[in-house]
This record gives sequence, C-alpha cells and structure tokens, in this order.
Amino acid sequence: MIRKKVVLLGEIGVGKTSLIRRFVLDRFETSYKGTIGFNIYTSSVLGIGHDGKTNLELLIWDTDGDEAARLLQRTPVVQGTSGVLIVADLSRPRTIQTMLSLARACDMHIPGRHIHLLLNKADLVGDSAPPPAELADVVHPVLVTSAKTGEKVRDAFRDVADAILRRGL
Amino acid sequence: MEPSADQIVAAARALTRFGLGALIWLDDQFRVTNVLGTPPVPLSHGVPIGESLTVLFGLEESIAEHAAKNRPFNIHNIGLIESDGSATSRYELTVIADTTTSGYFLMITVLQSANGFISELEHEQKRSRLMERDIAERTLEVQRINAQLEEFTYVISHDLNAPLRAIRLLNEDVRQSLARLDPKTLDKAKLNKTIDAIGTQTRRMSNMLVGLLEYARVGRTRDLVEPIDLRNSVREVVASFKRATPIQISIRGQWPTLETPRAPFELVIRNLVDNAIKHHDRPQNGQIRITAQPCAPASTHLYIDVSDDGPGIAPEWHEAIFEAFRRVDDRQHPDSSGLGLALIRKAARSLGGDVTVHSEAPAARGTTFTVRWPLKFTDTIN
Repeated sequence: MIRKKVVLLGEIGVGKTSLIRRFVLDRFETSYKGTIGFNIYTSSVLGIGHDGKTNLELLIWDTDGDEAARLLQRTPVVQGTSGVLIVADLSRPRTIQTMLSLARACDMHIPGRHIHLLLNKADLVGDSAPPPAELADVVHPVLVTSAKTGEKVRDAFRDVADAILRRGL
Repeated sequence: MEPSADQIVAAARALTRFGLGALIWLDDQFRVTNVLGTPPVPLSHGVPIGESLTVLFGLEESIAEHAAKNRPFNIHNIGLIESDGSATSRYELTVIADTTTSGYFLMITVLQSANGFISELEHEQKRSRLMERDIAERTLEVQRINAQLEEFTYVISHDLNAPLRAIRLLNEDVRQSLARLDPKTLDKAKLNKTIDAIGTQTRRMSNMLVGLLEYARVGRTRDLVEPIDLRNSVREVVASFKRATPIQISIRGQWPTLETPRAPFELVIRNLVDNAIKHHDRPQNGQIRITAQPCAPASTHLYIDVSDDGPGIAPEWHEAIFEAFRRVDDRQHPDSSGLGLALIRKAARSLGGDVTVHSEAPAARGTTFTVRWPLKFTDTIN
C-alpha cells in the first residue's frame, strides 16, 4: 500500500488529537490531555485517487501545538511530509490568526505540499455564527469540522489523501 | 586508556538490556543490518528502517544531510500509537553517521518518567496562559452583550410604555364621553377622532414590536454570501417605491458585483430610501440620489451615498436618529416604529460596515446618509 505522511499543526487545544482519534479510532474523549512532543498514528484511506480504487496508508503526525510557527523549522516534523492539516478552534477567533500564519509559513518553508485548513469545534458555535472574515482570501481548501460529532472529519482526511495522490506528492 | 572493543560492546549490551532503548545499525540505504536491545517495533534485517519504524519514514534525506555535516539527527519525545489507541513508551531517536562504514547508527532511548513529568508541567503552564487570554477576550464579549441587553430592556420597558399610556388615556376619554352621553349634545366627530387616535397608537405599538424583533435578529443570523450585481439590487429596491411617491429616485456611480449577503444590503438601502421619502416635505419636486463612490485599489469598503433634497436634519439629531425608537418629529408619522435607522446601522456594523449622516440643516436643505459596506465576505466554509 502506498504510504504518505501528513502533519497536523495548530495552537494548543484546537482539537488536533481529537480529530485524529476521531478519524483513526472513531472515538472522542471529553477530558483534555495535551500532546507532548509528537504522536504518530497510522490509518488507511481506501478507494481514492483518479480511479477511486487506490488505497493509501497515512502516517499522521500529531504535534504539540507549542510555538507552532517554530515547528516548521524543526526538520523532522516537515521533512517527508506530503500534506499538512492546519487546525483552528471556531470558538476561539485568535486561533484562526495562528492558523493563517502557519499556512503562510508552510507556503514559505515547505512549498508545494498540500494544505487543508480545518475550522474545528463547529458543535460549539452552531450555524448562526458568521463566517470568519479573515478567510476571504485564502487559497487553500477550508472545511468546518467537529471532532465531537464527527462532522466532516472523515472528509477532511480523505480529501487530503486524495489530493496527495492526485498531485503525486 | 581507550576502552576495548569488547568493553564497548559489553557496555552497549548492558544499557540496552536494562530497557534503556536499542542500538540499530543501518547501511547506506538505511536498511537494518544489526540490532542490540529492544526497539519499540519489531525490525527485520535488510528492510529499510522507515518501513518498520514509521517515525523515520521520509526522513532519509535529512538524516543523510545531517550526517554529511557531522551532526546528529534527533527527534525528541515521540510516541507511537497502537491500533487500539494506546501509546507505547516515549522515545528519543538519534541517528549519527557510522564512521567505520558508510551507514548509520540509530540510538533509541526510552524517556524516563521525570522528563515526561517536566514536559507535561511546561505544557500545562502554556495552556493555562492561553486559557487566561481566551477568558479575558470572552469576558469583554460578555460585557458587550450585557450592555446590549440592558439597553434592550430599558427600551422595552420605557419606550413601549408610551403608546400603552396613550391608549389608556384615550380609552378613559371615550369612557367619560359615553358616561355623559346625551344624544342632543354628543360630539360624534370628537368621539371618532379619539377612536382613530387609539387605532394609531395600537398600530404604532405593533410596528414597534415587529421592529424590535427584527432589530434583535439582525447580526445574529448568518446570511448566505452570494455574488450580487449591486446596481440591479438597488434598482429592484427603488422600483418597489416608484408607485408610492412622486419623488424622483436616481442611481449613479460605478456599482461593482460583490460577494455579499443580499438581505442586509437590501434592508439598508430600502430603509434609507423609505426614510428619505417619509421625511421629504416637498415630494412633488423632490429628488433622491443613490450614488456608489469609486473604489480605490486598496479599498476594503464600498461607500454609498443616499442623498435627498428634503428639509435636512439638525446637528443635534445626527447621532440620536440612530438610536432605537428616537424620532425627529413624532407628529409627522405617529405610527412609525422609530427603529428604521437603528436597524440599518446595526445591520451594517454587524458585517464590518457602518452608516453615517451629513446634513447642514437648518443652514441648508438636504441630507446624505453614507453607507460603508465591506468589499470582501466569505460564506461558510463547506
């Protein structure tokens, strides 16, 4: 099976680990336990690519959200990465600013990688919240997710895997 | 004296035997050639290390670069998550060049619990600082909402009471008139006028309640962002007024097509035109001009002027007219809710814009309301 590496970036507490565990284990834990260092998960994505029949094994790096912009200069995180999912917490607008600055840093330090922006914790803000105006100019795909309900989580990882395959990354 | 080769091997065996990690020899293609100790995952000889120890997948190039510069390649605090979600011990990995071959040494160290405890403490400190920052921001937001609620409560209890009081007094008039009823002296005209006034106040109260609901709703629901030809949109709003007034309404300037919410935009234009028509003292010869000002290249907002040649608004009213239930002249439109301008300012501000007024009354006639409308929106995100 083809194997590809993806990394999740974002501020502390935006839900990176919860998104991964929802996707890999279909679990959500309400108690918070911060990620220290890096955790590596492995999961398969089936039936993607141009023919819809290709399977991919994703090596998913869960990061600690500590000084996120500095992570990109720490070689092991970004080397060999095919895709990056940058996560923000919809209920904390400031994390969206961090997400955008991480996206710019990725474009600069690891150009050409596929980047997906995830606005997590949709369950906390509901449908009546106005969309973040800061995202008006972004060129990367954006998804609203909820690790708690599972909303769009599978789509997020499948979309990234599919994009990596299609672009030959 | 340098230790002997046997001593070095014995020391390495001792270190790895006591669970401190593993030593792995790799060839120049990163294939496993020898293993001492217990690595976190089973390793097969001749298989590239990245296939078994997935943390090193894709890092071969970087490892080689470090080795060429005589620098160790290090990854600190790694956890490998099993298929059931449980975590292995935490490791530190260090890869250095094997100077006796063209391959590499990989040293895997199991992190002791004290290191992990310190790391967790540091993480919790950072998290606490972030949470304090978030709490401060939310406190400000709650204070703002509380202030709005207080204003709302005051308005409801104070301003809605006015028409109710008027209805009570008028009702008392009718009752007294009927009590003194003498068919010879009954003033029917006066009685009818009183009953009409009751109707007017009832309508006013109804309009106020409808306006209040709309006012509360503005800025709280998310409208669809769609591409809109603004000139066409304004034209449709103006068309709805054509039969109701002889005032000439013209649309001027360069109107862009914007990705913007339609409903609040049309609400703002409609209420401004309605306001201009309602307060014009010479409708037979009156004019209203709706003009889009040209946008500079770096502009973030579109500026739209809604100008009329009516009596104008005195300076002392320029801010008051945007307050809920404030009316410049109660006698002109007694059943008006007094919320029209408050509503449009709230709608514009909720989207990052604003509405302001300019008038030089009583020195000169005319009023211009300027709408500042954001040029960029984004819809949601799905």
